[in-house]
Amino acid sequence: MLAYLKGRLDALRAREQEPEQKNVPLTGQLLEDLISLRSQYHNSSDFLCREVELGGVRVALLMIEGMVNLQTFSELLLEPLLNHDFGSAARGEDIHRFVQEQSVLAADMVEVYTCQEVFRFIMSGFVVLLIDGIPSGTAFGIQGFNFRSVSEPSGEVNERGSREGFTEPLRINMSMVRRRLKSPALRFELMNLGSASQTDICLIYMTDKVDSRLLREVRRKLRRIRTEVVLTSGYIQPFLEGRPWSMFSDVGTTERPDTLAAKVMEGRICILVDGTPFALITPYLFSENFQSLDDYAHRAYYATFIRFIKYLSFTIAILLPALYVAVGTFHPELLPHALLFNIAAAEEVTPFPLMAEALIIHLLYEIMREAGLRLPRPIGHAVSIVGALVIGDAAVTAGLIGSPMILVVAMTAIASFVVPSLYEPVAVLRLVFILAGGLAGLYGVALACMLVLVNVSSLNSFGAPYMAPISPFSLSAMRDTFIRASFTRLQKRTARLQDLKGVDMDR
Amino acid sequence: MTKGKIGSGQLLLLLFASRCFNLLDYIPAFNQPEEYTAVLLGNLTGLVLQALLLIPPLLLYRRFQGENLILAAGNRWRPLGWCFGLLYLAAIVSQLAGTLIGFEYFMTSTIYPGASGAFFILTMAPACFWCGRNGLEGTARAGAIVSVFLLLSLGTIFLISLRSWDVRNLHPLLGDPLPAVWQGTLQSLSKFPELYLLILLYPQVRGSTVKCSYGLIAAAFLLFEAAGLLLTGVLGEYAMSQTFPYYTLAAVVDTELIQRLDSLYMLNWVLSAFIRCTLLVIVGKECARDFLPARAHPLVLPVLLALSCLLALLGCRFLEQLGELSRSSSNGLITALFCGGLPLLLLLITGRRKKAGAE
Amino acid sequence: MRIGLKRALCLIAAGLLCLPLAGCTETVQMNRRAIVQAVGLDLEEDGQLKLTLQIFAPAVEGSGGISASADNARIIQSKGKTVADAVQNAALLQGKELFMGHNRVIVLGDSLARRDVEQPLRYFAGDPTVRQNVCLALAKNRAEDVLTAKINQGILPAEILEKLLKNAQEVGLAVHMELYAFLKALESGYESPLAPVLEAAPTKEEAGGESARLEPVSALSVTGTGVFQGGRLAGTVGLETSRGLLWLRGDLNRTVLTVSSGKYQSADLRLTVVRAALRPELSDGELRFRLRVEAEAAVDEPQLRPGFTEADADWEELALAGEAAIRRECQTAFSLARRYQADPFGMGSLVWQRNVYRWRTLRETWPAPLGEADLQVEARITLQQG
Repeated sequence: MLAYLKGRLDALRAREQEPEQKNVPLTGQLLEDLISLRSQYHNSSDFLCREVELGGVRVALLMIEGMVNLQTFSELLLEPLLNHDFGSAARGEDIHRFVQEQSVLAADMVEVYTCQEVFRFIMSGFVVLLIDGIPSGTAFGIQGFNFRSVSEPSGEVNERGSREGFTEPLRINMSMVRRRLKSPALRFELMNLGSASQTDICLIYMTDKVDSRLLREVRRKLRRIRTEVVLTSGYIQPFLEGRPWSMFSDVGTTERPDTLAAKVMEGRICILVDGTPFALITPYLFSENFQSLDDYAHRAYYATFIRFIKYLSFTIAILLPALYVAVGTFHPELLPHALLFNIAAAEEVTPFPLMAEALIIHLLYEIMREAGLRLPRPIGHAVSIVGALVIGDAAVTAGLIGSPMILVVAMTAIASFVVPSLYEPVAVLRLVFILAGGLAGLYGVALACMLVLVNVSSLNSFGAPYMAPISPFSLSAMRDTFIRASFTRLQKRTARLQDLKGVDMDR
Repeated sequence: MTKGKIGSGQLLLLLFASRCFNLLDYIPAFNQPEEYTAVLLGNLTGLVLQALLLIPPLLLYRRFQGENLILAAGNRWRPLGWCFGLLYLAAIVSQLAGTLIGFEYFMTSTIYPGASGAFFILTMAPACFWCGRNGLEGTARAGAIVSVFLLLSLGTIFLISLRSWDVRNLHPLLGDPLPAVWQGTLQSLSKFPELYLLILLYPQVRGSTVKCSYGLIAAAFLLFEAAGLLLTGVLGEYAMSQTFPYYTLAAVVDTELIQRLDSLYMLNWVLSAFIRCTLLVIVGKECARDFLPARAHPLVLPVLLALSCLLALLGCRFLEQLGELSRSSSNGLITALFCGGLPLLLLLITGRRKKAGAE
Repeated sequence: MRIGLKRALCLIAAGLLCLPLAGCTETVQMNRRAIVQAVGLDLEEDGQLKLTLQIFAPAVEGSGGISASADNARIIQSKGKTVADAVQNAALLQGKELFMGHNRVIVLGDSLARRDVEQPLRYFAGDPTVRQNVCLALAKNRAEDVLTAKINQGILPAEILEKLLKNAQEVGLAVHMELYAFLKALESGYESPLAPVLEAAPTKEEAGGESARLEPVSALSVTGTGVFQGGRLAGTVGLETSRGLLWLRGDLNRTVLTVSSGKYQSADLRLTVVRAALRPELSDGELRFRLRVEAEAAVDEPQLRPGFTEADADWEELALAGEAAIRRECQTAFSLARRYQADPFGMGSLVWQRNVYRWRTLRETWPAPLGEADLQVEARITLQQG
């Protein structure tokens, strides 16, 4: 026990010391700097260092293997340097001046002054030029690493919207947003998170729409993140949420640049994270889970109809199994005669109570769904066949589960996919409601509903009530909540977060 | 009291949802008068009385902007604040226990005949207390949504019951009208805690307190009158022999699609009881904090929870005696005291002190 | 420990503590319920009540679907001193809990009806699972015969029984009575409740008939209306008088009047729109009622008497004959008040509404004053030409 504690203390001390070692400034002595860099990089084999002599001055080009576009490196950096006549008694400053003023790559050039900065840039695909006698380096952005090409996002499919989705590199994502909002008010603010991963993140907002308090609060929360690695946006999402333990998240995600642009125009702040195609949106309200870009491509009446379907599907996904269990166990008098007879006939031979049936089958469904997600594609089809056979047919024929229960589960499953962003709370709450309904009937379901409703209503997303504009009710915002009004109405004024009732933001 | 941010419309809907509980909880055996026509007429006169009772608290609020009754009393004279605080707290705790008892009685006598009453009390009360911890804003927002659902479902029940409505079931008063109507008036006041909850929540309202106050009594009046007319028109005098006449109304009417509307009634019951209990918890908590020292604040909710559960469980045990107490006309007078009497007293006291100070 | 973790642990603990409370509510699984569809009550000679229950017992085929062609009902019979006693005894005869929530019909036997129906019906009204709008009917003889009668339609006999009763009112031949309406009339003290009368026709076996032909849909028929006074059956009336009752109660929406006149041997007047208004008139200490009936009708199957041709067609004559028929039926029904000392028309309510002071004195002896009252019937039928 004592040895364990001692070991933990030593590790903490070591971690505290590490950052100080990395913040070593460049001395200007090339050999010394190279030794320092190599030792800090632990002589990792992907660290490449090309040393050349230009006019008697030693320079070193540092990069990480596989991160740089070698053709650009050769043609636009190395060749011009080697071919330029610096004279026989050149000084470091001459070479530095040449690079700063005459290099083709002058547009994408950053000065670096510490070892940590050198590492950060070369690990981001830059090439760093160190010149003997100059206590700084020059980083050139000639990234050439492989990345996934822009493709349609898998999770947010639209009928008539753009087919572009975010990819992993941050800068490509930034350019996609910029192309959609050609406004000088659109601002990108870069930050760096993760002590080990040094992940780039980018805050995107409209300077003329965003609330200043919101911006300060988001920056403050991001600066308080002390994780070592930030590999996906999911790592920083809990730090932005008002209540990390809540079932519903008040920070949204999107894979679509057009959706992000729309959200930014409403006064929100979006966060892109390098290495993940999922951008974060904050503040995020409950009603936004039921909106999609396709709503604005369809006609108003149809879009309204689809909105209604979504709300109905959400209700079905959460409540249908619980209501079925509650009514079947405690209140069968509420069922119409014919329906009761069918259910009674089906349940006549089943061994389990309705609640147990519902729990078993929903857990089976979740297992199959998870299996389908993780399996390789060629085998994935087998899962759906097995699932259909096992659950759909065999279980009913064997008399383990009643056929009405299968129907209920099927409808619930399909309904839950209509609003995929709420799948997590739906999947868990569904089980909670089944338990409540099975133990206490409609009373249990109603009580559980109220607990969830009050809990959700208490959520505030950076000063905006999570349930706005449903409650507190904003009539003007109803044009794009339960219904989708025509564009003649929508165009009158762009909806802003600050215009909602109950929002504690600067108007 | 901490400054909240709920709109007057939100508060109105929240209190309306809470008031629906009394509609659903109406038990003729535990109430007077005996003819429902007297109840309908009594509602009308009761409306006038309620409007008059709201004048002193509104004047008080205008005089002491930003302060509720208890704070206003305490700031003028500390023992007075304590008295007011204890009185209102006692009223709230008794209403909370009474709501739990009424809720339990319905559930065990009608929906879950074989169930233990303690189950309903010991699940409802902690749930309400947990939600009460979240504060007024969350409850008000949820209450607004619930009130819309209540209106829609009550409206559905009423619309469908119109088919069975017969004007022949409406009768003039058979007995002596004046005492009957007076009893009906007092009854319209009894078990109306929303009146004094409203005045205790004035500082938390963003918007017009006058509109909110008179809007509440008008909305409650319309609801009760419409429901009463429908009840009498469908069930006639049969309603007065039922334990829960509105439940019987919902059970009697039917459509082809929904076999029984009493399920909808039961949902309404649970929702309105929940909203009322949570609201009582929130106001009780704030009341206690207004006059108790800061070190006692963490204990307020647990003590309130324990006390209300205990009282509710005891009340279930002695339900008959409680029913007799409930029939007593003094119930309406108690509401009148808390809504109008105590604020008027405070107005007079502070008015006299001001005068004495000026002199 | 962080606040969030504390809260989560408290919630989990609260949830776990709630689980034992689950035993506080009674759960009965669907396959442990005997779903009662119809109830019959008879009074035996030994003074005991005989309870006949028709329960749903599915003949399951394939993967759990109900067979519409098979018998899905079973009969349970038990006896007891009271209804509650009989229901309790019925539970001993089969292994499931009796569930009355889907009970469609309560049939009262003639013998029980002549003794007292109020207490047995109060049992059902007091059961929260029983629907308050369950149909009520009176058996011509025994309720047992009605419930055990063969019905060759639908999944369950009780379903057809219920439709039979509703249909009878819809075509304007008999009253449709529900439990709550019956008890409402009983409790008022001045109104007399009614119930439709069901008669079981003899089966082929009983009639000694052959079984080579197709079987009829139902061996039951509605044959009239029973009038109750003070919780007891005062008497029964036929279909024509039943219609008169409907005229006076204002419960008639459509019906077919078969009339004859000077020129017509017979003709059917299909009344489609019926408006009836009954009004009391209190003057000089006398009680009088005025019924105004207005209807629109179409003529079906007019058969002229021998010697008359189409040229002699006279719709006006038919209308007058129809009006006379209405007046006759209403007066016959109104005479029940004197005969049975009953007020099955709700006239007491109308008097109360009209004059509460007069009602205070009349209420004491009501419905006796009704027996001395007059009824004036004004009927007007508008025939739709073409």
